[in-house]
Amino acid sequence: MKQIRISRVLCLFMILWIVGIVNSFAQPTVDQFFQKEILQIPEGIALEVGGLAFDDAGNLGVATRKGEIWLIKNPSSANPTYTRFAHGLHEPLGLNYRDGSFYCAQRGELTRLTDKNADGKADRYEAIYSWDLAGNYHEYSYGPVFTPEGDMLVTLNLGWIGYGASLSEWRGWLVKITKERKLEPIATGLRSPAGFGYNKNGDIFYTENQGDWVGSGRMTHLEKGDFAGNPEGLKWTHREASPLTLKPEDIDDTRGLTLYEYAQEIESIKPPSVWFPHGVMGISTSDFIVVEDEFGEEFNGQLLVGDMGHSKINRVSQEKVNDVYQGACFPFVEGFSSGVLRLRWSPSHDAIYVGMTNRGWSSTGRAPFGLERLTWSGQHPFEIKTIRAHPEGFLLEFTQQVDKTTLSDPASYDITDFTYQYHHFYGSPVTDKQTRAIQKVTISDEGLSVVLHMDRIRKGYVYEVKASGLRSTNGQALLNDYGFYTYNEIPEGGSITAAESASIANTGLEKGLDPSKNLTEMPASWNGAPDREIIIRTLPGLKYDVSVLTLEPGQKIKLTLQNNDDMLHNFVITMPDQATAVGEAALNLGLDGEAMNYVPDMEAVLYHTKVLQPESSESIYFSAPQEPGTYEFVCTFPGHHLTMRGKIQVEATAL
Amino acid sequence: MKKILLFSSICFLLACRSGEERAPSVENDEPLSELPFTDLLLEDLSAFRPTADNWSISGSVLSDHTEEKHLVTEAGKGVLVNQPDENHFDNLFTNTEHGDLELKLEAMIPKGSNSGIYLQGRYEIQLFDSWQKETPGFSDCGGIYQRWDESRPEGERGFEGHPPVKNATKAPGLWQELHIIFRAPRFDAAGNKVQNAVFEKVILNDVLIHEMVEVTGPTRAAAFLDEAPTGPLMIQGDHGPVALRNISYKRYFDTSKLTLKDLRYQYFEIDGPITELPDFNALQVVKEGATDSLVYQTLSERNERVAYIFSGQLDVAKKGDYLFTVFSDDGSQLFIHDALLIDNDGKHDYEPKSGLIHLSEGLHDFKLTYFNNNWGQGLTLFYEGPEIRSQPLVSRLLEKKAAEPTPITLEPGESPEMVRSFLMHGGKKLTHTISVGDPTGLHYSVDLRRGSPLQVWRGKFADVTEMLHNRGQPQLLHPMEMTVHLEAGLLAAVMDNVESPYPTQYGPSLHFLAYDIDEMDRPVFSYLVNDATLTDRYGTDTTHGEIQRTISVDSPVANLYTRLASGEYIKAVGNGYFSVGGRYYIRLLDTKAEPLIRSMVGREEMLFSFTENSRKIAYAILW
Repeated sequence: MKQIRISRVLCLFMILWIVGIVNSFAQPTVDQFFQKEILQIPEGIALEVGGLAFDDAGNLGVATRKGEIWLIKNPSSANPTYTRFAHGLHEPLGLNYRDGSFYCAQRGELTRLTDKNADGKADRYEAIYSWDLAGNYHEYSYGPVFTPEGDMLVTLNLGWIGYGASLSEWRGWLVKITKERKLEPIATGLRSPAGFGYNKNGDIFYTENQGDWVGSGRMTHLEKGDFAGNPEGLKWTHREASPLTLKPEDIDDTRGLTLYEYAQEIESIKPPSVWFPHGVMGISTSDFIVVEDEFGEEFNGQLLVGDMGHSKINRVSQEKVNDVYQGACFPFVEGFSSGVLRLRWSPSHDAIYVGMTNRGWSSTGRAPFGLERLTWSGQHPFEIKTIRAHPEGFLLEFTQQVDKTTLSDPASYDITDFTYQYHHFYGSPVTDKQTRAIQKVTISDEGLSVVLHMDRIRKGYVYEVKASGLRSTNGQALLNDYGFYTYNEIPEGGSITAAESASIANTGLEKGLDPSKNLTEMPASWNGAPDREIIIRTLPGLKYDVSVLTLEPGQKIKLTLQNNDDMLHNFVITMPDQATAVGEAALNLGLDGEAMNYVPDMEAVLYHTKVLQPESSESIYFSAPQEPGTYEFVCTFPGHHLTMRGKIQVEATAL
Repeated sequence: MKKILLFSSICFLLACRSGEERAPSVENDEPLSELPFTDLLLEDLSAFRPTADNWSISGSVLSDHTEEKHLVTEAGKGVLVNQPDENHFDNLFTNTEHGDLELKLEAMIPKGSNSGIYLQGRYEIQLFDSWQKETPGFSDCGGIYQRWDESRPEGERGFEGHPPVKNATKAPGLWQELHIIFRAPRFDAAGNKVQNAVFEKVILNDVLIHEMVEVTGPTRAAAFLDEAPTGPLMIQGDHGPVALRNISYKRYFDTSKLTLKDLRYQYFEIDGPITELPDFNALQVVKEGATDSLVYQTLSERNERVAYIFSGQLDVAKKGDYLFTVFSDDGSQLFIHDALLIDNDGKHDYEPKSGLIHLSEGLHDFKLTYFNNNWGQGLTLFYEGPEIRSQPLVSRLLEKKAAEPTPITLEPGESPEMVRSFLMHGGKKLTHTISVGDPTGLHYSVDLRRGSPLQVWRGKFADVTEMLHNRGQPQLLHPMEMTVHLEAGLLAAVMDNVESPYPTQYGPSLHFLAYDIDEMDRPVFSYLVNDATLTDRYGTDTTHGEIQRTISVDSPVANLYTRLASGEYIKAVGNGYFSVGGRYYIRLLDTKAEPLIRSMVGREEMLFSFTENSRKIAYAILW
């Protein structure tokens, strides 16, 4: 076993060395440093990964959304052996292993599975604790994570009834199931807490997805009694066991406060330590793991955080300032084959196993499910290692020596800051965005770090820190030239004072919209009568309820999009064969995407609706193209365009 | 020898629905979802044309499912019984004739027996002992019988005939529930047939076995060879014994639909969030005019914080009881002559509310108000009237249906397949259930919160499409065959005394512990009940076609009972079997066991008391 692994690493090393020689002057790609390997899954097994855990023998346990647990022997070999260890579980979305048993959170129960007769199959399915459910599909349960004391942590997703709702006790909470089989509620404000666990210091974090009351993906440090933002779970704080007393009616989104601002008023509110700007740093934050020394010294203590919809892994460096967690997220590795939900280190920490599924949400990796293995080559790309708060701005550290000319040039950097609104609507536009002036640059002697002194620091804001002008001493650009830092606290000792955050009342600017492509009033020339009215609805699973529309050339159309789904969607009509290009351009809109309704300014875009909230609708008016052909329609909300699309046949009616 | 203890002196009565005339009317405060059916009275045979003595009225019937054509009766009213002999074998005809008809009935078919329901005396749905037949034909229970033409060549005389899509028949001697929606043939003014008769839906024991099946003419052994707009209902009496009860129907006619005259709308916009219908008097009308539908979406661009008033005249062609149902998101109210009939106000999802009103012929003032705050929206008004089918009052927006996904099904392989899921039972969504598909084809579901069997079925196992396709509601597992629902209660309970009601609700007295997989890969359940550990084991017996259950306790606590069965009645029918309300049979596997049968209000229950000397009870369920 061991020998094989060594020779594999050596082999990779040699390949990389050769590739390195050939490419020594080309810009490296991430694949030279981190290699993805798709693992073999036998035909007929729907390995929609809900949880991953290794047993004592080094077999990989995989809990699937279908309710099976597969035990994979030699998972990275060409011929892994799959044994169905357990089945019939209720959509388990977590897996752990301890003292000879697997543990998983089913929708309504924390369960221990034991193979007593050692035949490779569980023969005891034991209920550790059973909690209430309303029977809503959105009531997912995640975990368990073991505490140092041997208790177990579980997170409970909100239901969905047109909005995220806590339909049964402790939904929207992080709870502890003690060894004595009692439930102890820990923290609430959770909406879709698919990823949670400990960082290197032993503090608990959870990741959150954009949704109602959640402007964008984020991660939050949770301590007992914390409230992370979605008020639904607060409906249980009147229970004796609740560690906090905040009530749902204490949260008033008409006041226009950000979550950070609210936290200054109410002690139990915990703003996130890291925001993942929606559409840029993913669309559905998932599991995370802690990097120890697996990548040498470089990323020690950092977190790797998955994203389901974007099929990628981000990297997070956090620090504690004034006893508050905050930090930065960076792109790390993208291009996985399905939606990244679970991450686990191999037993020897030489590889990360990436468990994937995209059922119901789609992902940029098109496979419905999969398992991949990510290994490190032993070399580091030129990256921003960390962004740290500095009393006057930021301290950036790098993985390689930076050319001092570029390092000391303020023009190498761009910093903008913005925030998110805190309200019951789904998501938030990037709000109150400003460009920060870099007033001074202080570089370190070795060229491994730099301090950027800014004109002001706005607490509670997210900072896009770009360093596209930097070159390494080898002349290479950064592999990823940006990160997003969430500034909660300013270290003491600086000469600039924290700026009061500006009012965010006037927001939601819509730029880039060509009004003629989004006519929401009937043209007067139509004399009040379209030739045809079409209603299109969205369906769960990133679909419209129609796949082909047939229109006549020039036909006057009133098209109504009704968004009945629990996510945001739009409807964009494109020129023939342009849906993919338009969808990809929408993905690249970055921070501006939200304000532009994710509609890129392209000729290929003919007409479109705005991005619609769940349970809302919009009617647009347009004339069908005169030129017959097969046009396309597509949802350009990030992550949707590959699945959510259809054709428009424009053809003259046969006479 | 079994010792059956009968508690309480309440006489065993087969509940029946004979008695007073049941005109369609609201009998309680429960909201109606449809107008009531009219009962065919079975106090005597006066609802039928004169007939031979093979037909009679009884109070109850029982049948030993192991004995050919066995049917015993008890005196009383409410059950129509056919017991033909060599000299008496008439078919039975209703006095009333029908065209379009919705019919519900329950039929008890003894072993090996044969009968049929002929719509208009012409088109037969077969009643037959087709128990456990894997591939039913047109002559099996629920089949639309074939047609017959003597003039055709030998071997081709029988034609058409439609088998049920699956066999949904229970064991002989149990009540088979039949629900038929029939559309009569249509004729032009000259009397020429222009549309064939159609069985729009036939549902046997809650399984849809026919949908939109056309019949080109009378089926074999019809009473009439011609076709006509109406005819009497006929029940076949010359093939074997059969009993029927709970016969009820609705007749429908095409004419006399409601229409709206002089329909006008007023459109309002509201500034702030609204949670109920606004005070329209305090609002300015933004827009108003004539309209011909309630499709408000075409009347304004704005969807949020809007309200409408639709008003006009309701033109009633036929007097009688009308049931209106308004679906709306958010709130709505329906007024007839300015009197509030339906109050569906408030901020809510697309939800229905109904109201019943007696309307005379002629015009009636109509007013429908509606508002939408934000998010989901919609407004549809349905009505059902005297001999008028439920339908939207005015055309709705075109509904687009997504393509149905390919069904995802589960079947056991060589060992049982278990699935935990949400499950509907008794109108409730249960959240902690397990269904077990056994390789022998006998399957069951259990509520793990209560330790209660919920349902049993035979054949194919489970449709889990809702759980494994995409995401979203309702995430239910559906048995793939006719399913017998059992009344759920706790696995076991400590009762104060033997008269105490048996607990049926989940509570702190019972904890599900685990299931262990036995040597046959079957789950064996264990629970904690008031500090006693109980083991609950299910097995199958293919010889008898039974599911067998064994409950045992490690060390019984005082007054610990389990309820083995609960139903309208529990009666011994021979060979050790008890009929549980005619819904299924149970049989005790340990002949020494001493269960007790007690009468509660409107039901009977079979209980078993755990003691130091009887720590185990085993019984079988057959259907």
